[in-house]
Amino acid sequence: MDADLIGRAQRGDEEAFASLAVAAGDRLHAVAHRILRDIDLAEDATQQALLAIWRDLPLLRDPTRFDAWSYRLLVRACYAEGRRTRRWAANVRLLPADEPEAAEGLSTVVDRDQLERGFRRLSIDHRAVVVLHHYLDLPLDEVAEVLGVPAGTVRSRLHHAMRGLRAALEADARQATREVAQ
Amino acid sequence: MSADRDVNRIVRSWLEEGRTALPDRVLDTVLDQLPATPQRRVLWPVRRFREMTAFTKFAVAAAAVVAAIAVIGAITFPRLTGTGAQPTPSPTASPVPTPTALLLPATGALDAGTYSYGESPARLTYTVPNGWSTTDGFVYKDRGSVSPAYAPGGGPGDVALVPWTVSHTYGDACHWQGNLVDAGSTVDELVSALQAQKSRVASTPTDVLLGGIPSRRLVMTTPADLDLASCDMGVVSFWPDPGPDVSGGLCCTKPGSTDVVYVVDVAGNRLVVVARHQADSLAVDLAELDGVIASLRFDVPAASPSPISPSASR
Repeated sequence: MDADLIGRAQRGDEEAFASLAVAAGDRLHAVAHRILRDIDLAEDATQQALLAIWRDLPLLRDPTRFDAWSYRLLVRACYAEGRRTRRWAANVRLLPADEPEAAEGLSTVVDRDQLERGFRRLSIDHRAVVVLHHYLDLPLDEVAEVLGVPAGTVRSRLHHAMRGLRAALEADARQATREVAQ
Repeated sequence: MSADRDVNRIVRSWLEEGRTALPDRVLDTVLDQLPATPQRRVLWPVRRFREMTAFTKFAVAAAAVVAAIAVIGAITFPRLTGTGAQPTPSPTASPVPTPTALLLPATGALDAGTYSYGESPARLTYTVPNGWSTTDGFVYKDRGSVSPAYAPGGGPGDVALVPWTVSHTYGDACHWQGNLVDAGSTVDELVSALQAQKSRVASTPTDVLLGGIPSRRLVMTTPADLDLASCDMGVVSFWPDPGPDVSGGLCCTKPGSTDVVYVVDVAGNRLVVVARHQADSLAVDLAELDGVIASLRFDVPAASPSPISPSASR
């Protein structure tokens, strides 16, 4: 991110911030959508995160840390959305129809269904670790820095989350085996 | 292991799916709200406290050994003074404000006089008597017991005053790592966050005047029986430097210490002033600290309401 742009926005330049928001908006929304699994909630969280970035930007001491810092505010906004609404549907809604039908390595719609169910059972804490590590490719120590928790906590959350997702996929496999046997 | 890799691959592939573009209407809403969303500013210089280096840890351990020897000594040998005796406070000369405040130096011993700190609208002045020192925005009187384990004014017998800009607190002063709480932007939000802070005991807030400006006063005590060794990095920590990127902050005081926290809104800027003393601070030093607080004034911008009248006590 352009340090000059960040500096101007820190001094209250709204045009500079608009440029920052355009540049960062998509990636923040992508992360929010993956954590919250809901378009409306993700839009609300991204909006809140962008306003928090504007509000707190003068407090950011190291502009080179802007990306990690903005993820921290985004994850906070996701927590807030999670607390504010209890719209966590028990039923699973598959991703919208404009999404790709299948990605490489994800063999069946059932896999996606099971992953969706498994992921929604995770807390926001656990989802955030999975998304920051497996979607953004952040190393675990950087995930810890973003979330403001010890690295051991991040490892523990990731382990727990991946165990849950693996169990969801294995449940699917067992179901398929039973169906074949019948 | 290979099963783990398969799950990782499947999850990564699944996460690649989904929307990424932020709708323009969301961005427009954000930009429309900017004029009504004030930015938070650092109104006082940021203070950075040292990490617990190997030397510090050694010093803490050494201090613990010295303390243990002192306790054994106190048990073994007759006391020279009565238990809990406090020296009679000697009359303290009221600080005499000088017409022109000196800029508070970065560090060192202070001559008695009036000093200014920070920039408008958070510029404040106060008068300190002889025997006080300053470092990192603190003005304090130590009793020769300064240890690397303690912040200025945080050691045995010390008294101190420090202004601060606080944007976040720690949910637990002892287990503070990864326990950041957004303290909002209003006086009441910060007071609520401080009241909720674990491992410290907070009084009911009261309304007082500080420098002639209405403020909320909160007495926060670190329990005397708190085992610092059980706390993160072996210290208590109350809030980080402003901003959500955790670092520095107000920390490192002795169990049994008391922070009298004033939260005040000066021309729309939330400011915090901390008056700190220890359970074993001398009455004469406490009286001096009261004098410093009573002398405190804010440099309020001309367009803002004038301060009402003096003042607050510790």
